[in-house]
Amino acid sequence: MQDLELIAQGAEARLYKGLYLGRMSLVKERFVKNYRHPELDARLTKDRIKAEARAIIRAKSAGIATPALYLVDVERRSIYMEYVENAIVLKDFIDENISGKTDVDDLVEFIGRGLGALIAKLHAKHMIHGDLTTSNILFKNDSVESSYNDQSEAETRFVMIDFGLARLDSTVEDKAVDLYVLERSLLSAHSEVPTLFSRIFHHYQKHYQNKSQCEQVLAKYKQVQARGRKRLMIG
Amino acid sequence: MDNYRVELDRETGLYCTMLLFTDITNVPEIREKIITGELRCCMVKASLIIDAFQVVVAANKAALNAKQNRLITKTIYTEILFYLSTSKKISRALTEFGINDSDKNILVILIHEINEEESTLKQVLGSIKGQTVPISRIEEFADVNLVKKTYKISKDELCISSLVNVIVSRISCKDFML
Repeated sequence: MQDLELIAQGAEARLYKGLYLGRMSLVKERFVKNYRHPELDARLTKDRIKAEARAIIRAKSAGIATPALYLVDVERRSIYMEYVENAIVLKDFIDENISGKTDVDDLVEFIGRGLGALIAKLHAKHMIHGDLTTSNILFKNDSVESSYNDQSEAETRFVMIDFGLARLDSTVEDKAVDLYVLERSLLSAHSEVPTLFSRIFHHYQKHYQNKSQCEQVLAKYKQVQARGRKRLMIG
Repeated sequence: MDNYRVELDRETGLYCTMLLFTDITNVPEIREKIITGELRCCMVKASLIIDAFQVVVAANKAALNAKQNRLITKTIYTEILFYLSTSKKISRALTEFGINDSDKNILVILIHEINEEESTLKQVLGSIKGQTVPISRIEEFADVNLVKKTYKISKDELCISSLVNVIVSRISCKDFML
């Protein structure tokens, strides 16, 4: 496609921004990996594109804001989606507005409430994001300076992106690891905001509808925390 | 003129033009012409379309399938109806979104190359007895509850996303959902 501007590149894909079908769009192209056998590469890419698109749709129906999809083209290895306007990566928002500032408890609480509720919703539907970091969540800045106390507001201001590692039929173990990955990423990316994870975790438990299932995740989470993300391989 | 044109995926080299008609008096005649292939266009019940973009996304998918020689239905125009619907059954999709003799408000969709716009428009305008209305008014003719029911959209989903965004996302993933 012409008129597309490269805006980011990762290990798996390139992101382009441009007009598509008259709308400002983001194109995520999973490029060819030359070190892989071409057939395997094509197969893996196709499956991953489809899995990612499915996860975005499922998360949307679970009530989590995700970008709208405009075209999923496995031949061109690309997903065309909505470019979320007036939003910044949550990591940058925290760095700019919380880190090193005083009197930010309300804001930390707001983020904790929003993310906790959203992750609980996702897990309650047996989905995991797989790569929960503040770089994979957008914060919408569009509404005028609004109250940080409103629950629905807290849930609608965050947009989850990059479902490339998401899973649909996840186990208790997967959910616990999902939380653990978030905890570790917050620890390294936002060590100046030490209360953030505990606020998210608090609201996660509060909003998890199925309490017995939530208990199971918590128990598993403690185990994961003790041993790390990967299971021990013995024997 | 009240026609509305959008460029589809550049690889297809095609454009999508839409016309919204109201109070059409010769629907059975038009329907006959579409079925026999005399009139080459796609006609959709206006009540099921809440935004032109809903059609654009389905038409884009249909045009790409045609370009890549993998149409699921017989023509590019039935392909649009197929993608608008969430049903895997072609016949069901065509009856769901295609027009009935009792319909009065109809959205006409044309897929064409840039230089064919006038000629394609002419043949359609000549066959339809009705009033054209700007596409921007499409929402007035939509039955929002019916649309939500057709796409099985829950209240939770609409808290975080607009109706049109939810619909186009479903259309985009139709090939591999379920």
